[in-house]
Amino acid sequence: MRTCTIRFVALTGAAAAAAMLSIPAAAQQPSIAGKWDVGAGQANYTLEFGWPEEHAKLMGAPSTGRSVVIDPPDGKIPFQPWAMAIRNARDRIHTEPARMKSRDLDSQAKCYPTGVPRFANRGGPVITVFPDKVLMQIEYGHEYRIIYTDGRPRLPRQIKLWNGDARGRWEGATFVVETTNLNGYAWLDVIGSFLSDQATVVERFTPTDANTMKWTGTVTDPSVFTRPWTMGWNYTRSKAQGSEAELWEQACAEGNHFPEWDEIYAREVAPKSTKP
Amino acid sequence: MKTRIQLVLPAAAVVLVLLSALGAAAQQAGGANARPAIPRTADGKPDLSGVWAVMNTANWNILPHAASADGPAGRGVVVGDELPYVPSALAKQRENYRTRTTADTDMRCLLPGVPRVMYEPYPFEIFQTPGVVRMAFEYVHATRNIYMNSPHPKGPIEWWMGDSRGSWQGDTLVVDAMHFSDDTWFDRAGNYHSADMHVVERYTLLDRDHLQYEATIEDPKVFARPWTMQMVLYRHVEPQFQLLEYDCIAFPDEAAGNLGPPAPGAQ
Repeated sequence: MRTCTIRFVALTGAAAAAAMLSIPAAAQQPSIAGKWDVGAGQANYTLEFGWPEEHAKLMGAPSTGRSVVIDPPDGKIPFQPWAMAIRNARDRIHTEPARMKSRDLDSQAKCYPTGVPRFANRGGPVITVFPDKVLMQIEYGHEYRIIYTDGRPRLPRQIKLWNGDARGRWEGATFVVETTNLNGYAWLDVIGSFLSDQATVVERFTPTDANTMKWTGTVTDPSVFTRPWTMGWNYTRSKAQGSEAELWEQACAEGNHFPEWDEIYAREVAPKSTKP
Repeated sequence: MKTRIQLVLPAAAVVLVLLSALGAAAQQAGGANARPAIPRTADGKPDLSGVWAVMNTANWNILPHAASADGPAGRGVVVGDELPYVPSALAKQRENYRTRTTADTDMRCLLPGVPRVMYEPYPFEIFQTPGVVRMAFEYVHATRNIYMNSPHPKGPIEWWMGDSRGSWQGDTLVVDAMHFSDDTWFDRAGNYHSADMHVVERYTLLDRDHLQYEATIEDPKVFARPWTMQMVLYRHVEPQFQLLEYDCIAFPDEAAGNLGPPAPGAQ
């Protein structure tokens, strides 16, 4: 009996302490936790030009015609000349499927992981905050990111990942995520903007009121760009309730019937297909 | 000779003393029948959070099997060591086995389904909250979102990973999963199910680092009666262990040289 009493008191004490520490803080500050929507047409097609008319129509989204690049102020990604040439070549060829090779095809059309920062661009995330990490999930391609906040060291440089190695920290209410160890395979948009495996991406998730979260992503990669550059937009808190708010299966690779990819795969890739 | 015996005897005595000391420590920790302490969440439920993985060969064959070109030998995970196929389903299993290196969708790095994702031999992480138990797998970045105490959505739905709904029965997390597709198998050996499969999983912490996993499979189109698989999931105890990526679907394209970041002056 005595042991039971002591245990009960200890638990109550701990719970009370936890309540005193966390609940008032949560009440004062809007949180990044929860399900977020991203405005339709957040530049998955092109970061620089906004939604062109025909794609806006296709996606049922308004054509913004506006770059999401907020720095530099001209809204252009500051590619080095050689990189700009590659991006522009991809842009030209992407509307000519007959000429397309696997190298010319958006990694997203192949159902590969989005990479970072494009993860932020494929529908709003569901964010769950834990004491030592933050889990971000999107329905698209059942993708997830685990962002460690426990101060652990970075992965060794030899390990390159589609979504990189992410470390997070809090600056007031802003969740700052620094991602390195990217493999540089994932395109940044449909028209072929890219970064390299030397890139560092710093994202800032700032809840500005209970229902709005500002997002910016700054890309630093001296091997591809002439200077760091930043894109940004706002998320709005999802109003979905019940099963509407759940993450359901979006099996991209399993149901991929992008016709050009089937042909290109059969011609260029399948002969190399093996799995250990 | 005499000297040697004199040396051996004290050594044996030391071992005996150590053993009895260990035994006494175990007794003090709660007696022979006491269950080991398990981590718990703030709401008192067993805390399954952490990175886990199997140490078995069920991904190659859930039944007992010798080593082969497919993979290492294994004791199997099926209770009773047999699968109760209905007679009409056996031919398909044999055909699956014959064509396994191409017909097993797992060879193409597609989603492995449930329960197979649990015993793909790679780490996965459990993120537990009162309302949802989320699982993130290193293998093909699969995920499961197990919504607690809520009904399955109305079908017909065919999902590769099915729809999972959880509840606590005492200290066991019970997950009811349905709405599957028939694209996935249980293993490389071609043991399979239909889209009508119903899975009930039971997750029970044995101690801090061992999680008992049990799945009961019901699929009258393929099996004459429900059957059960059992295995242990082991916690990755390495400090700051973290999931990496195993997106093997991109390997052929990578091997063909189509993915590398363009180098200056390329193209």
